[in-house]
Amino acid sequence: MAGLQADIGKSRVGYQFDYRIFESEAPLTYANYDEAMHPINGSSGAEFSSRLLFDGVAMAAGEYANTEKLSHKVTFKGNAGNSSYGSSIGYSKATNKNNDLSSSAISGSAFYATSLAKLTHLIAKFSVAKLDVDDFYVDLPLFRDGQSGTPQDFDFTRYSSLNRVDLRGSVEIISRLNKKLTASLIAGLRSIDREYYPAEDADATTTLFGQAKIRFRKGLRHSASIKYRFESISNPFTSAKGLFEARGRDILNPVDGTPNIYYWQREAIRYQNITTAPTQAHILDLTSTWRPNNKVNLNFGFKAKYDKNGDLDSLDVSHFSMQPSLAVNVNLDQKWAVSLGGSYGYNKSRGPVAIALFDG
Amino acid sequence: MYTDAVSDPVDDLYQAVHYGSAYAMTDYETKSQNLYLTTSYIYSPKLKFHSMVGYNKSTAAMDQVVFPDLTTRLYDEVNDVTDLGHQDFTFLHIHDYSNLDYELINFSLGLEYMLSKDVVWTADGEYAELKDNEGYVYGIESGSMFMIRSGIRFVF
Repeated sequence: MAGLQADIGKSRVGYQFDYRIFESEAPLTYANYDEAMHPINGSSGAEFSSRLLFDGVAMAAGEYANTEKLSHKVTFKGNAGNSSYGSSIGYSKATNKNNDLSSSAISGSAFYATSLAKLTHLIAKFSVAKLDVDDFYVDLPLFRDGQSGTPQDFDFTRYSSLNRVDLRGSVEIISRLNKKLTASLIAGLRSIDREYYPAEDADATTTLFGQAKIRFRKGLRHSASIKYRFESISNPFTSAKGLFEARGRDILNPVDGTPNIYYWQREAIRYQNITTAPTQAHILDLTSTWRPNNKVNLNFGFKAKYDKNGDLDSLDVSHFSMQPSLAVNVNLDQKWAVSLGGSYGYNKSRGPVAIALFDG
Repeated sequence: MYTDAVSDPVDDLYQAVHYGSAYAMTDYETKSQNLYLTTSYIYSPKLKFHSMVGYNKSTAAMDQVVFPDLTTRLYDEVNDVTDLGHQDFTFLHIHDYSNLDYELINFSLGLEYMLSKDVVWTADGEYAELKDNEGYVYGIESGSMFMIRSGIRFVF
């Protein structure tokens, strides 16, 4: 890593370069694939083998990526009267040298801070990043090659959900109400426009959020804060495949001269969007510190979050979590210090458990 | 490897019957309690000691998965066939597979000795014991760990 920085008038310009490589000589992990055969009588080896990628062989199942990463970043900061501003532009690229697949990112950010009044400040932030990840072609053996009927070609191009334009912006107003209270309000948005997922023409995931925070301080003895944040998310990331399979008569039939119906055909009758990502979230954060004397301080915290997704038809996906915590720090004398603390964490998730129905 | 589609026995032609999917909304809860006690002692300007005792107890459990009545799924009233009345879709124990219940207790003791203004020698020992009360896919995985490490820290 190396960098340069220079002050030009009231402005500061910087450049930073980062380069790192990772190589592993850890031995490969192998997985053994059994020889394909009927599970009861051991026959039909060729038929079952023609439906599998591997059988009767040991294959490397895990390998560390040998990576090379480099990045460039140019920063700029300046001041004008009661305002300050800054921006940055960055480029980074990471390559897995084992397969020559790369990901790259171009990013930019800017901020502007100014005083609206004597004790009121405004901070505006904006950033954008474009991520590109190499796609690759997955060449699979033909399904049931050499067996009756037409073999199926399941080759596909693997795109990454990381291909995206990530846009963020927020405006915060901080105001000191009096000697004890400071209030802040934030409004902002985040938009993630994925190029390929869950479908090639899918709308961007857009999060609008608002946050209010009040801080209380009374000398050095007491301080506390309460923060509430609300998020509204449209088009949260969903699985590209449906959770359920349709039911009915004659919705699946043998194709292309094959003798039976096969599992792969069920992909065509799947439906129902599913995700654990929410469309609404409520977040509460409380902190409090009490210092009865110079040797002791007592810290209390409480965090809670509730989110749910209202865009999944009859599925009632939701999460709730809370975490109270308490800590006591005591400086017994100039040599001894003791800390005692504890926390409790509770998480509850509600989601569907789905099964495919079989008659037999 | 056939799908769940089957032939309708009353139809001369092959007719695939697909029963589709069923689902039930189910809750999953995790609880975690943490306690810790740390102490530090400055023996001299060059030598400091520190210790820690930590305790964690965590549990996780899923509610029983209760599916709606599936016995008449795709019931053929004309021929009185292909209902699933002969199948049992009650799952009394699959929710137990997700259960977790373990306790972790760990102790550590260490020192820092200032070799010079800019160089600090550190030495630590840590003992941890995990007690698995529930087991998971690979069974009960209780165990313990003892570690000693030493290093040099440069301050600049």
